[in-house]
Formats: sequence, C-alpha cells, structure tokens
Amino acid sequence: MKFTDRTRFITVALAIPIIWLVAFRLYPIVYSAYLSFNTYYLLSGQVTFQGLSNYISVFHDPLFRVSLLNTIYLSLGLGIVGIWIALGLAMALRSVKNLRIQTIYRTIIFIPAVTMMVATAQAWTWMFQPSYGVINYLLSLIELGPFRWLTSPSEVIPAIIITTLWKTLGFTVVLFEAGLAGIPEAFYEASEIDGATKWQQFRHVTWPLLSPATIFVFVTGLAAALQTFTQVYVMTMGGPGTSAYTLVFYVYQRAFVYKDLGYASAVAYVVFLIIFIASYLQLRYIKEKLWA
Amino acid sequence: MFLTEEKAKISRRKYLTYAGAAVVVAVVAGAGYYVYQVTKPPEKITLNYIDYLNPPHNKVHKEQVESYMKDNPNITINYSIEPYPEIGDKIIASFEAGNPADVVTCVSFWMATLVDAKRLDPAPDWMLKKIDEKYVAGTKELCTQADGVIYGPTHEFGIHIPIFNLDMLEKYNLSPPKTWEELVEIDKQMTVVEGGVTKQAGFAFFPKGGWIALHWVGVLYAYGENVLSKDMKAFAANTERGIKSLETYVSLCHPDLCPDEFATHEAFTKQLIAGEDFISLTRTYVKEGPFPDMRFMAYGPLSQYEKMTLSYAWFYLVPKAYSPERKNAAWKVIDYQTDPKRDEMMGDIGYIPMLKECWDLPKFKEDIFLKAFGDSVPYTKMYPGTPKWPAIESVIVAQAGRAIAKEITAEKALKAMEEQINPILA
Repeated sequence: MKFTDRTRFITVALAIPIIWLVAFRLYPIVYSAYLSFNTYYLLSGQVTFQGLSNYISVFHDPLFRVSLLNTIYLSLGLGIVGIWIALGLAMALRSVKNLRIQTIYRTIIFIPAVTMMVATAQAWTWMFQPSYGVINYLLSLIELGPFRWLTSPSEVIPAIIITTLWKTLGFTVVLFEAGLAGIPEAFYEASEIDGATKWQQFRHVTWPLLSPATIFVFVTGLAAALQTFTQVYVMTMGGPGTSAYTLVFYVYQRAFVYKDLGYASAVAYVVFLIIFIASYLQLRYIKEKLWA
Repeated sequence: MFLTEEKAKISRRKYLTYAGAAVVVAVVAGAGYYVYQVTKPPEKITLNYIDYLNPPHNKVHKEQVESYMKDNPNITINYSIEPYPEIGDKIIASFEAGNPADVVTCVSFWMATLVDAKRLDPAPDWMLKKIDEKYVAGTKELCTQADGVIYGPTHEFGIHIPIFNLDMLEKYNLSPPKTWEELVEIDKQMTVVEGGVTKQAGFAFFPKGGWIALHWVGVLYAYGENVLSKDMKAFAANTERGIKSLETYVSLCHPDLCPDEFATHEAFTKQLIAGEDFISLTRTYVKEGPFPDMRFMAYGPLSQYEKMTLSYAWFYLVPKAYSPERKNAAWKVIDYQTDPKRDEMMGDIGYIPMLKECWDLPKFKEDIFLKAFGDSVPYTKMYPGTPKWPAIESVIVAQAGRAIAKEITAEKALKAMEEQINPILA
C-alpha cells in the first residue's frame, strides 16, 4: 500500500469513531453546558437566558441538599464497608491452596458482577419485602428483625448499599487479588523470619504494597458510588419520601419528570464538579498521607 | 402571390381538417380525463398510529385497525405499541423531531403539555357533536381541557373507586363504607402489626411514585378541595380540609404490605381493598388477572364533604403536523373506533363503554360492577390542566412520601408542598 493510501485509510478509519464521539459525547456535553445557563422546558421550544441563576438555585435547593447528603452516605457506606469486605474475600481466596476450588469460589464471587443492575435491583426489591421477603425470613431464623428495609427512611440506604455491594464486590475482589498476586513472597518470608505477626505482615507488607490497587478501587468506587441511579430508580424511585434521592436520580427527576432541562443541566454540571473535586482530593490525600 | 380560388379551397379544407382533428382530440382527452378522475382509485395514504401497551385493549385496537384497513384498502395504518412509561416521552420526542404519529393515544396527564405547546388541533365539529350527543354524561366535561377546547374523544377512563374484597367484608361482618373516615375506622380495626411490620390492613394504597399523587388527589377532591387555585397560579390544598385529606390518605397507606406492584397483588387477596386496584381498567385485571376466583364489588366513589373522586382519561388525538388529507384520514379512523360496535368491543374486555347506546345493552346495563364506574363519571374531576404538572406531581410525591414514612406530619408536608410548588407556578 502506498503511503498516501495508508494515510487516507487511517483517516477514514479514525473518522468514524471521532464522528461518533463528537456527535454522542462532545456535542451533548457542550449543549448541556449551554442549556445550564438557560431556562428550557421540553416541548415549550423556548430557551431563555438566565445567566448563573440556575447554578445559584442549585445551592439553595433543599432537594439537592438531601440528594447530596444521601449520596455521601451511600458513598461512604460502599467505600468503607465494600473495600474491607472485598479485601478480606481476596485474601481468603488467596489462602485457598487448591486451584480448582479457588477458581470455583472466584467464579461464584464474580458472577454477580456480570448481571444487569436492573435485574439485580428488582430481585433484591422482592427479597427486601418486609412481610414476604427472604431476607427477613432468614434473619428471623437467628431471631433478628423484622426490618422494614425499603419502606423505612432509615433503612433504605443500607438496603441499597447491600444490593450494590452484592453486585460490585466481585469486580473489586478480582482487582485486589491481582494486587495481592503482585506482592513478592520474599517479603512475607523475610517478615516471618523477623517474627512479624499476621497483623504486622498485613500492616507493613500487604497494605503498603497493595496501594496501586487500593487507590484504583477507591477512586473508581467513589466515582461510581456518586453516580448511583439504577438501584434507586428500580427499588424505591427515591422514596420513602426523599430518603433515597441521590444526585444522579435528582438530575433525572429534573430533566425527565419535571422536563426542566436547563436546571437539570446545571445540577448535572454541579454533580460533575463534585465528582471531579472528590476524586482529585482523594488521589492526592491517599498518595501523600497514607503512603508518605 | 395571391391564392387562386382553387388553392384557397384546398387551404380551407386543410385548415378545417386540422381544426376538426384538434377538437376531436380535445374532446376525447377531456372525456378520458373526466372518466379517469371519476374512476381512479382513492389516494393511498399511510398513517402511523401509536398506542400504549396494555395487552387487552391492544388486541382490540389492532383488530379495529385491521378491520378498518380491510374496509378502506387505500389506507395503510402502521399500528405500534409503546410501554406506558415511555409513550409520553415518545410522543413528546416525536413532536420535537417533527414526525409525530398521525393517531396517538395520550393520557390526560400529558395533555396540558401538548396543548400549551400548541401541538394539537381541536377536534372537528362532527366529533364535538358526537361527544355531546352520544357519549355518557360527564364525558364532555372530562374531555375539555383547561383552555376550554376538546382535542379528542376518550377511549378509556380510569376512575378512583375502591374495589372491595367481598370475602373480607363478610369475614369481618362489615358494610361497605360510604365515606373516607368510615374506611379509616374499618382499616384501624383490621390492621395487624407484628414486630413493627404491618401484616394485615383494611387498605393497601400503593405508595410509590406517581400513584401517591394520583390517590391523594382523589381523596382531596372528596374533601372538597383542589390542588391548585382556579387560575392555576397557586397551590390551594394547604387548608384545614386539605390537611385532613392528607392525614386520611397517609393513615390508609401501609407500605410494608405493598412496597412494589407485585406485593400489592398479593395484598389484594388478603385485604379489604387494594389501592392499586382502584381504577376502572382493573375490572379487566381483576376479572382476568391473577385472581379470577376472587369475589369483589365496587359501589361508587367514597364521599366526605363531597361525592367526588379523581378520574383520568386516555384520548385519541391527531397531532398538528401533516396535510389535511392525512389528518382527515386519521380522524376517520378515530370516528370508526368510536362507533357503537367498536365501543362494545372495548366494553366486552372490561372498559367502561363511552357511548350511551352501549350502556343500554343488557350485558353492560345489568353489570353492577361496571355500572358503579359508569355511574361515577359525573362525580369525577381530572388533574389540573397545567403543563407544569409533572414538576408539581414530583413535589407532591416527595412530600406526601415523607408523611407516609412518618418523617413529617401532614401539616408540614402540605406547607412544604406550598413552598415548593408556588415558585414552579410563578
């Protein structure tokens, strides 16, 4: 193939994904930014410039505040609980010497990660049913509960956390497993010779050397948690009341229920800013403080 | 230079021959054109028809559409179905894209948005006359939008009337309540709570999403109040009676029994009344649905200060988009679907017949259950016809939901609704 033909081919080949990216990613982002400075109700056809008033309204909006607090609660729950359960499971998996059994356990743990969140959320909705659900039944066998789960404002977020963890743990376990596999055995042997306990080995060998995997899990996990939507939509539609409203769910409400695209765009950009700042701070803190 | 007499005769003959031939050709062509115009087949028109997903009536509508196409071979109707949650957005998006369907079935909730955006033409005069003369009492009022215009006829009403489980009525030796407060008393007697979880209740409103607003507003109407002021510029339900209506509604919600639609079905068999089965089209659901052996009855809307409840309707509409020929063809389809034979088909599958003529048929006249819904049409009101209703409904759902979850009192919920809804209306 001649050089000019090759260049032409590459140009054409790249043009298609670039056009797709511009049309379905870049254009909506730019148009949404434009709408955020305007009032635009779907079907009215009228776009009216508002300046920064949409953004100012966001910070005075009680529903936005509720959504933000619920999202922070959800993210902390998923982060704190999820990371430790995943790490524990990963370490438990590594301790299984029989490779075949290890593979079976790994498959069982990972299967939920490949299910659809909609189906998962629907199944858990039935399981959390206070009168007929299997969760309360199993808890009653050990004389716990009953819990109201999705019908209680104080229990709905924990219920969503449990559902999300069930689905996402598998992926996190696999990441931690890969991180653990990268730690040379020599470090453990050396620490054993020095008389380190299991806890000391974990604290001084495993935890520091697992930092790349942990940072990745923290950052991506937080970004995902801040964007929780499907579970909320399927399981509770934000209820009871507003106790399960999350930031992205609120954006959806404003855009597709209120049909207020201008304000919804402003909320979406504020959410983006929050996720950006949170991820940036997280990266800096973890790198500088934990592994200084 | 000059023509001789002989040559002039020949020229005249030629001239007359040519002129005569031209006249003959013109006459033949004219006659041929006339015959063609008279005998030509009607123009072929293709119509797009979007209906919302509900298998019983989809089957009937499809049959009607196919029968219409058989009787009118020049008309092709592309009949398609959309799931209910998506049809509103589909209609709106198709308007924005400039290619709406020719016939749509649209629920009253979205009418105000379409009317406000001037996407609809008023119904033609012959359809207005039909509604006025042939439809059941109360239909004309329910079809009239906030701007005083009728845009299309209904094909279905949803009316909020409790459907009673007769076995439970008999088990507890109860007469059907006539007012909301009587129902609250019965509910209290029948409610059983174990370990903080409600195991049985007299009532099971489905307290999720838009159903919250739908059911509460029905109760609110019976308390003689409205959601919005007459000019639709202010929230009007934050009154003493409004607070009582919300307290009544909240006390009849038992979220533990029906956190989702499937549990509500289960709750229906064990309770006196299930809230989701509060609406007319569930006659089909109740009769042919998961509990065919269930004994049930309806007696009409519950009163309080007024005998009034909520209704909503699905309309046949012709969007303002296309040529007069297409619009006329679309209206003819709707006319066909709203004639007595087709109305009877809908009655046979459990919907309230719309035409007076159908109500006279013994199979409907003597159906006590169906009659309870049909007779209630004059005692119903729809949601306020404002395009801002989706936003208003969201606020109602959020705040009433907090009252149901016992986070706040009914009074505080209504105050919060007022604070959030008035800026939306401003």
